Amino acid sequence: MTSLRPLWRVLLLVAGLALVAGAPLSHSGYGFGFFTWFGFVSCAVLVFVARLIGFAIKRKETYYGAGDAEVRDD
Amino acid sequence: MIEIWVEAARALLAPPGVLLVIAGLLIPFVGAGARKALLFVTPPAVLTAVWADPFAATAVGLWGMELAPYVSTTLGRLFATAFLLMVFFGNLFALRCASTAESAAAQIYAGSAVCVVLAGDFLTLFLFWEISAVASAAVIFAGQTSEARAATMRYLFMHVLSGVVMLVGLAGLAQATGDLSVRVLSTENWYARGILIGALINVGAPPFSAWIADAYPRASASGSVYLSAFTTKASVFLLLAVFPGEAILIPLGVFMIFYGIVFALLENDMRRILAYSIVNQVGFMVVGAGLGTAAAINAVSAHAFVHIIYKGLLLMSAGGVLFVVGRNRCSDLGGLYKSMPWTTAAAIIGGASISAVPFTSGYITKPLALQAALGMDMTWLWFLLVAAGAGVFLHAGIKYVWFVFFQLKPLRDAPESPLSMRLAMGAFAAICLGIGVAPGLLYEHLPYAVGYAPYTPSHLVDQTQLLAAAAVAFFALLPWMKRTETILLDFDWFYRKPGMAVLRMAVAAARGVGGCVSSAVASVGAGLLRIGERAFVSPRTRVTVPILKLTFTILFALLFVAAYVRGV
Repeated sequence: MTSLRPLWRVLLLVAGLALVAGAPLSHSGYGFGFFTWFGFVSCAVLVFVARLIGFAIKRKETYYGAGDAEVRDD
Repeated sequence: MIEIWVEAARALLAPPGVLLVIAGLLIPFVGAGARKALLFVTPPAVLTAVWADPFAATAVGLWGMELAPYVSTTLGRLFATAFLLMVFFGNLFALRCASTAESAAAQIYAGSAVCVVLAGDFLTLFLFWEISAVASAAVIFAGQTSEARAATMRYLFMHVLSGVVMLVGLAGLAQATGDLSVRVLSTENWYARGILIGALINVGAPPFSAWIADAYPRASASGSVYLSAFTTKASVFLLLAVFPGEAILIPLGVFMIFYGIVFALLENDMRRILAYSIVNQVGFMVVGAGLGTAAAINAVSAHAFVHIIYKGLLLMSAGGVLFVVGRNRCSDLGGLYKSMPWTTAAAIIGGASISAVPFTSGYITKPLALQAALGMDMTWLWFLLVAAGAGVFLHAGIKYVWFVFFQLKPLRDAPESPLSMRLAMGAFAAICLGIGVAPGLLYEHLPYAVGYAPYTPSHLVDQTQLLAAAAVAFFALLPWMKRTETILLDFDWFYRKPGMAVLRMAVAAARGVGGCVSSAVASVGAGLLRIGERAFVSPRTRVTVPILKLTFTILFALLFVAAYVRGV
């Protein structure tokens, strides 16, 4: 895959259709497009929190001495 | 005396899962043909035995105790069925890559897990719980790398701890009540808290969540498929059967859910992403066990069943990639979708199922947990679970599939996974889709009647909105998720760094006074240090520590029996 453009088109189409269909069909009781905005905000928060925590807990693969080698001993 | 041995043999041979354990013990000593027969005949034979008599129960009197080594319950049968599907198709997947030792250990592991979920007394449950711990360690050990051997020792360290804590609790239970039947216990009693803590360590609850991501990805391509199914789910079974409605489980489960998502988002190793995802998914189950209502128990049972299948499928796809490409890191992968289309399809179906995409198995089980939360007026929990649902799609449904099979990278040449692997993936993919399309197949085998209709327009639209939003968020934030060749610090840091330093200081002190006290103390200390170093620092180890585990188990089993007899 060399470009994200076709993927974006499909994604936005599905998201848009689900949003429009939700107006008459959704019975969540939390207003128009609740699951769209709530899903997006939840993911954005999770990625942001992960990035923040990552600054503190990411280490080089050799941190514990051996690295992450998958080379067999034989 | 002979009668005691006859009764003991009856107790040991009663659970159907013992057939698998025996098959595992035979595997190293038979030829290739007989080995295949054992691998593919035994699981269906055990499954037939499990379903032959839905009211089966075996009672045995041993050492003055009334034991029930085999009691068939709706919940136990459901878990046992998932375990047996896993081991059968796991054996098919492993046909080209598993060593004899791994195959043997995997059968013992699966068989003992089946015995755990069909045990009617705690003594049988604990015996097979410990056998499964040793067998699972052997599966990791069979990974044949120095890292696998070191991870095995750390894994055993955690499971010795779990076994000892649980055994102390069981000894207390036996002494206080004289009744070892598996039943709901109140954590107002100290011994019940011991059993609960033992189960929580095995389930990967905080602060003991790190062992899953440390150990499982070190196994072989097929080893991690087996490992994904049994230990954590047997522990979930224990929570459901003994501690339903235990309030502490709700915050612990919520922590596991979000810990799993955040760590999976940061991780670079494809199998470790899926290992963190196990913690995340088991977190949903722990929350459900904490709710403890009939709806919640249904939700957890259904979710555990489908999770075993779709997580097995995801790890099979990762195992296929590892087997043919020989790489684990996402930063080394990508561009495989054209050369490995079947494996990619398996990963997509597994990813869709775990994310609860409509018409997959996850879609018909995840909302049961949400309904259970709403049924208890816990709206805050419902919001958290919905957010977590989006996060699951983010890390397992899209991230894993995208970084392993796609990415903006040139196409990569690689052979497709071997036929046996593709057949196993195909079967699991079919189960994921079959249950998704026909929920009744699963719903009718749950412990309680299900009053939830998954395919209403409202549910379909709400879920599509959530998943589409998560996908948009993933690609919008893709630059923030660039892979780095790093590892993540976790709770295991405490015993791999400062714990090791303390051990070294203690041994140095022992050596300092060695002349005064005795050189033997120093030798023992030095021996401990060597074992510690091999487990927690250096990967160069060839020590088979299951012996250590067995010694602990036997020692504490003797203490347990002694405590009971004294109590009587």
